[in-house]
Amino acid sequence: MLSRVTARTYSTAAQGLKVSSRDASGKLSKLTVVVNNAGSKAGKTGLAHLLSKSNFLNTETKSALRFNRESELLGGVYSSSVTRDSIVLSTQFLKEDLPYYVEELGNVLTKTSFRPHEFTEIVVPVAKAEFANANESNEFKALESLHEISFRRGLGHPLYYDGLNKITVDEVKQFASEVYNTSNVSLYASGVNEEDLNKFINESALSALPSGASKSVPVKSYEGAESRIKAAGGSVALIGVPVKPADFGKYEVLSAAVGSAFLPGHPGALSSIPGATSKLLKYQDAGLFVVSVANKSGAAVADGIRQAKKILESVSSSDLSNATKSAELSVALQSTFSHPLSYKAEASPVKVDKFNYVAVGDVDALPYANEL
Amino acid sequence: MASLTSVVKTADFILSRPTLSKVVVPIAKTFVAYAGYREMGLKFNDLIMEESPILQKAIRRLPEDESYARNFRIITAHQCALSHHLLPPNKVVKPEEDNHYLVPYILEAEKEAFEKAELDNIQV
Repeated sequence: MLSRVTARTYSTAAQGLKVSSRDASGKLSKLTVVVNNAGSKAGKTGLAHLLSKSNFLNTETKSALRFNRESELLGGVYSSSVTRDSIVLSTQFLKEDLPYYVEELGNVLTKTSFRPHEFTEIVVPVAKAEFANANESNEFKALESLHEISFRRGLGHPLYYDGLNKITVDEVKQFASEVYNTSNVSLYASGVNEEDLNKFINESALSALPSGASKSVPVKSYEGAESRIKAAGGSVALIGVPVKPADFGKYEVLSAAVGSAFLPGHPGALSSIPGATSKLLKYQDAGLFVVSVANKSGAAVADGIRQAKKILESVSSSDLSNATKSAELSVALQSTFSHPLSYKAEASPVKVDKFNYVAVGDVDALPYANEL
Repeated sequence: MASLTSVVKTADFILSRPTLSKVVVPIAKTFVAYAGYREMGLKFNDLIMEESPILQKAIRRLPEDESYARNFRIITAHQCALSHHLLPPNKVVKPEEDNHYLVPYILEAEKEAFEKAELDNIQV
């Protein structure tokens, strides 16, 4: 059965912690803690990834093993991940176990012990494995490189810890104490009773979350850069345009007009090229409009990216106005409870003559940016 | 072998009773003096049998400098044993240097092992 949203409320429990909750039918509850300004754009490169892997480990009140086993017995699942903007802790469980998970999330945010042996035995190996796993994919490598040349610092930092720079457990602990505060942390609860939730928050360590200033990371974007990485596996070519948050609506329409990765049922002109899609990556203070062509054969990608460039240049204003509705659908599809998107799709011509270009894979076959 | 956790618990109990500690502490001091490990450059924690998973875990978790110092002391003791010599008085480990550098790590590893055993056999 589809979960029916009966109410959506915002409240400010305990000292400015931002809480959004909604009730839903069904037996499932979800608690998501989003820590803004704590993603890989903040701090030293890799620090945020290591912090995200340190979540749900030993706390002062409970060991990691005990929490894991208790969670298994309750039938809940939990995970902690890092994005460029934020660290996201998500839990999913049966409705009656709400107090347990509220308490545990509070303990994770305020009372994690950061034991040195856990750092070397668990956190770093897991982080390195995640990095290695992600880098198996040339698409991921290409996107990382595109971010690096488009933003350099901040959003251009690598998403994961690569193991090359030395980070100590004390630095991670220090970073945690800087970012886990009420101005950064927001709690999204779905399938819960708001009154109960507020009561449990006040009883838990979440109410003891320190208040602090949220430090936003300055964003500066660059255009006209190019990067080429020789790699085994398939070839990927990306055209990327850094986008200001005010222009998200325009680029969303452009993406829908040429063929968006989020709208597989609405093929645009890009669908004639095998392995080509476009999407708008949206962050807090900037975005990145990406047109990608991926294929096993380097020659096919070389052809594809040249055609994709032509398609981008030849988008007419009638194409854009026709795609407005599709763009609105695309925004609605990407909007989630914990990441609500609220901008209007807007059909207005955008220039893509200055762009960043990344070629990964068979670079002998792939064209240079000025050869497109 | 009794777990080190129980040993530490017993020691704490003895130290918390003044009469008991008045009897036991001098005996312990005499034992240490006759044991003579300090004359070979060792600390008491170097003598704990290390051939067990818990001790291996504890030793692995030692900070680098502690681990280096421990290996150095053990090599010194081997050299003393081979050459049938004791260390000169100025090189002998002083009582205040004979600290429990390894015990906290063993206690933590034991706590983890006990908790794991308990959770593995839990009845719901």
